[in-house]
This record gives sequence, C-alpha cells and structure tokens, in this order.
Amino acid sequence: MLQDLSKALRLNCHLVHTSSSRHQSPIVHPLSTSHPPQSHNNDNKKVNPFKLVENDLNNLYKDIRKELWTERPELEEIASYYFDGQGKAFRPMIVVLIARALNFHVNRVPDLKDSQKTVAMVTEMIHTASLVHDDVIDTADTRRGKPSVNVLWGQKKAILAGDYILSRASQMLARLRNDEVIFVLSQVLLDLVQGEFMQMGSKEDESERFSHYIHKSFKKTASLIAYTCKAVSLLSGANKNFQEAAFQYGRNLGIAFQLVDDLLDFVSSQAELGKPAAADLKLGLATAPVLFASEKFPELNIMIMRRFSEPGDVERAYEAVMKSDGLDHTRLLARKHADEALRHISPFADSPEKQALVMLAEMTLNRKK
Amino acid sequence: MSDAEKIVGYSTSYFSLRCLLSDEISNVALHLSKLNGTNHPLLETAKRLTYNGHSVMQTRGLLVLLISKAAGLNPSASDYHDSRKLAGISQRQRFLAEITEMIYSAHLIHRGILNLQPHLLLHSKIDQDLHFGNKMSVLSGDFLLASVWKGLGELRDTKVVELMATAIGDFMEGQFVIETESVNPEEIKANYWEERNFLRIGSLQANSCQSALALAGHDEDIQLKAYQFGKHFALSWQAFTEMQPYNRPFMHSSNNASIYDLMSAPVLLHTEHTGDSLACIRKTDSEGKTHIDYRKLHSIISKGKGIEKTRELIDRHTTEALDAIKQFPAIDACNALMNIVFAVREQ
Repeated sequence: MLQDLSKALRLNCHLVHTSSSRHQSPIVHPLSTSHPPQSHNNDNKKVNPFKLVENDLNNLYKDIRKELWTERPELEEIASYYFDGQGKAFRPMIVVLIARALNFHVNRVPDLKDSQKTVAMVTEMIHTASLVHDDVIDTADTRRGKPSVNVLWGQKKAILAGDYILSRASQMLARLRNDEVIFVLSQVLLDLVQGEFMQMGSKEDESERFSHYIHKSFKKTASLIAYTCKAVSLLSGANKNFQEAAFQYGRNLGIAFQLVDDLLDFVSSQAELGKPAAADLKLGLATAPVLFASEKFPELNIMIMRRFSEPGDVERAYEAVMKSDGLDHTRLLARKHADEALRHISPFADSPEKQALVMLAEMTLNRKK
Repeated sequence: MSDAEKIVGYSTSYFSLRCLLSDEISNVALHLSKLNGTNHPLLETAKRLTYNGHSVMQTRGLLVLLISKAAGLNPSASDYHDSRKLAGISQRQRFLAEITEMIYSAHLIHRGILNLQPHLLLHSKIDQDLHFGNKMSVLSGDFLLASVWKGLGELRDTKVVELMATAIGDFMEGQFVIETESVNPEEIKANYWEERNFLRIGSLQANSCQSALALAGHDEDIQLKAYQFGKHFALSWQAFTEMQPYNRPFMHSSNNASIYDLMSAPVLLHTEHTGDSLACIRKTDSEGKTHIDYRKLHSIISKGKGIEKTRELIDRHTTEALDAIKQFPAIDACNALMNIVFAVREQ
C-alpha cells in the first residue's frame, strides 16, 4: 500500500521532467496550478519540488547500484533490479527537501551534505527491500510495470536479496560514523515488520479498531519517512525542536498519504490505479473508509471480523462505504494530517525548499492515482 | 561446552527472550500449527530454535562471550566498570552475543523459503499451506533481522554496526554461492572451499568476535586477532562437520544431498589431490536428469585421500585459531576456548 505513493506521483514527475528539461514547453505542474497551497507564500506556484532536488537525486539510482556491487553477479542483478531509474524516489525527495530546508534554516546555505545524501539513498533502499519482501508475502507478480523479483528468480532468492540490500544500507549508515543517526533509524525496520503483523489480525474491540488502523499506518508507511526526516535534520545541525518538527512532518505526511491511498482504493478505477478496485477488501483489510462506514452500518462489523471472507462480503462492504460518508471522513482526516504536517514546519525559515514541502503535502492530498 | 558456559556466567541479558515473548513471535507460533503435515523447512528450523537451545545452536554466541572474557576490557573502555560486576563481560558484549545468534537464526529461517509456482498457489490445500509457511518465514526472519538492527543501534558503536552488517551481507553472498554453484567437484578452483565457507560460516563468527573486542575498547591489532580466531575456528569446525559422514558407515536417507555435500572438504580435496574424476557417481536417466550415487561417493571418499587432507585442513585452521588467542590474558576463558578448539582437532 505505502509503496503506491511513489507510483501515484510518477506521472507528475515524468511530466515535469520532460516539460522542463526536454521540450521547454510551458506546461506547469498540474497540481501547482489547480490546487494552490493555502498558506505561506505567494510564490508557491513557481517552486517545482522535482526541479529543486534534481541535482541531488540525479545519480541516486546509479549510486545505489554502486553500493550493491558484489562478486556474485546474480545477487547483484537481483538486488539492483528495482534501482533502474524508473522509481519516483518519493521518499528520497522528502528527505532531501527537509535536509535542504533545515540546512538553509541553520546555515543559510541549503546545499545537501554527503551524509544527508546517504540517508536519502538508505531510505530508498529500505523501502525497496521491504517491497521485495512484501511481494513474496502477497504473491504479487508485477511491480512498477515489470515482473516482480519473485516471479523471475523465485521467492527464496528474492528474500535473500532483500536482506542483502538492507545489509548494504546499514553498512553505508555505519560508515557515517554517527551513532546518533543509527540510533534514530534503529526502530524503522521493526516498525515495518510490526505493521505487517498488525495487518494480519483484526481487533475484536470495535472501539480499538481505528487507533489500531492509524497505528498500523504509522508503522507500515510513516515511520520510515518520519525517522529519516529526523536523521537528516540531526545532520543539518538543527536543534531538538526542529528535529522533532521534521519527524512530525514526515509522520503526518506519511499517514495522510496512507489515508488517501486507502481512499483511492475505493474511488479509482482499475485502469487509473493499476490494481483492481477494492483490492484492500479483497485482501481482507478494513481501512479508514470501511471503519468510518461501520458507524452508520453496524452490520459491517461482523464482516470486518471475518476479513470479508464470505461470498458477497466485498460487494456489500463496498456498497456500504459508497452509501456512507466514509470517503468524506477519510479525506477530511487526511487533510487534518496534512495541515498538521505543515503546522510543524511553519517555524522553518522561508525558502524554496520549504515551499516545496508545502506543495508535497497538497500533492499528497490531491493525487488521483 | 557447559564448563564454558559457567565461565561466562549467567546471561543477564534478556534481549532474545524479549523477542521470543513478543506478540509477533507468539503470533507466528500460533500459526505454525497450520504447517503440521507439510514439509515446510520453517517447522524444522522452529524446532531447532525452540527445543534444541542447548546444543550447537548457541555456540556462536558462547564464543563471543568467551573471547570477550579471554581478552578482558581495556581499563579505559566506557564499559570497564560495568563489566567487573558481570563476570568480566560487559552488558553490550552480552547483547552482541545474542545479536550474533539472532542473525544466524534469521538466516536459517530465510534460507528455508521454498520456491513455489505462483499459478499453483490457489489450487490445492497443500500449496496454500506451503505459501503460508513462506509468509511466516519471511515475517519471522524479518522480525529477527529488524530486532538485530534495533539491537545494533542501541550498542552505540558504528564500527560494530559496520562489522555485523558486513557479516549479514556475507551470509547472503554465501547463500548465493551455494544457490548457483556447479555440481561437479572436479571443476572447482583450489581456494573455493575457503571462500564458500568463509562467507556462509566464517564471516559471522569472525566479525562478531572482532566486534566484541571493539566494544571492549581494544586496539585494532587485538581486534584482528579475535577476527582471526573466529574465522579459523569456524572453518575448522565446518571441515570437521563435513568429515563426519565419512567416518561412519553409509547411511541411506532422503537427505543424502545435504549429508554428502558434493562441495564438502573431503570430496573437493579428494578430487584436487588425486585428479580423479567422479564421473562414475553420476548417472543420467532417460529424461536427461542426473542422479548421484551417494553410496559409491561414500565408498570412494572414505577410502581415498580426501579424509587425510581434510584432517590437515582442520589442523591448519585450528593452529591458526590457537595462535590468534595465545596472548589473551584471562587464563580460564582462554583455556575454555582452547579446549573447544582441541575438541574439534582431536576427534
């Protein structure tokens, strides 16, 4: 689920890159004009988040592939498979923007430090390793428009290659020789796997379900973003308050993203989303729209408990969500988290990077796929 | 071994216990019963991890504790005071010993993942159960590795993180060596055995022993002695293990391929030193599939030069291991380490 954030942004990214760098056509980012952020700065529409991080992330995938070098050609091939430049590098983009915004705040120079770039690489590596493992768990056979690793090389090698990517990522972090950075990031893998475990069970107690769901969304989606934001803020030399602000920006943006993702699962068609509509229901997952809908339609509770496993459950739950205000509530909650993210970075000194962070929150809310 | 356990004192760290008692692992345990009746490797690994806690499973961690005690702590180390209360081994070194065990367990679990055909997954009950076994294997292995990552972060020593991460990477490389290797021992290069087994066995022990002394505040040259000890001890032990099936009569079992590993030291050294071809043990059936005659292999190797050469190999590595620790100050822990080495050498 979390992985679809970057999927959704790919089109936008692509559009901006081609329009600015190749055709020089006056196409402006679609979201920057149709949904101007409501606060901070009037110049927002001139800021292009993708352009701002372009120099820093230009060689991201090439540099990651270099780190994955080994004398075992097949291991290297599998480990590098998704670092083919087709990814959107959404997480590295957030991390780089936070880093630059705080570098500017602290030193009045936004330039990215090498150590911060390493954290940006590591966040993409952790994310990718978790995708490789998720695809084995969910028996997914495609990813980013190509066959998944498990389809091409089998489940065993997929898992081993995922572990290998993580081992290289931790070596890179260790070589920064900053034990505080390692300590800050020490929880993220545990959160990812605990989130996966949480997704496997349903809470008996209806009153606990929603907090369980938000908690799961934090662990599976937001934790990696939040802690890597904190790590680069530490490296920028920002004080504890600003480190916490960076963490909260990542945390709230991540949760907002997950809420929108769960919403789109109901409203987007298969063609737009690249996966069947109501895919979460089919996997037995009760996400925010269903949980909100169950307040109006208590008969959903029993279906939630049996994970929509009886014939007709998926269809009936889908109908109930559509007839309730579950989708509106979900959108509202996402908006609340996005606003909260912005509130936390409001003390940052004004800079194009800060404006880009504001735009990212808007884009997260307004994406259509 | 149990004498050695007395020397390092009662383990006062509950790190791995905490993991075993966590919601996640009890969740897995609950689901494992679904795997009964399947032959998913996770069942076997789970048994080894839970019922067999006092055999070889914990040797890796025990060696980390023993080498910690044997070398002692540098009085200038931040943990020096702490270690004096804890049988001469610091709390961080005890954590490291458990992290070492958890890395090994995670690897055992992950390498037991089966390659299942995706299109078969929904067809039969047994395929669904096997897929479920895979899912549990991924998650429980990931959970252990995530706990390792967390534990390493709490050690607050980036050098140790780097060494242990290297060990995890080597482990994966070693598994890929095995996954992609040829089945013809005759084609193998001379140092292949060392490389293969350093990656899959030696690196974890070498890097964990070095890490233990890094945590003790010792200089690089002393750390490297611990590294050499871990590496050579692990290699000698591996060679010793590989020789065992040839010291007893042939045993027929469905598991022949893992007992009579074609890339084991006795087989490789046999072909290397005799130049003999092992073509006679391979038979190709009408479908073009190759079968190995393990009984014939056993008979050739038991009578051939490979056993003697493997003994020499064990001697070489045990000598190096003993050499590496001879100047460590703590007599009792050093003796315990030497006794373990001699046990491998003289059997």
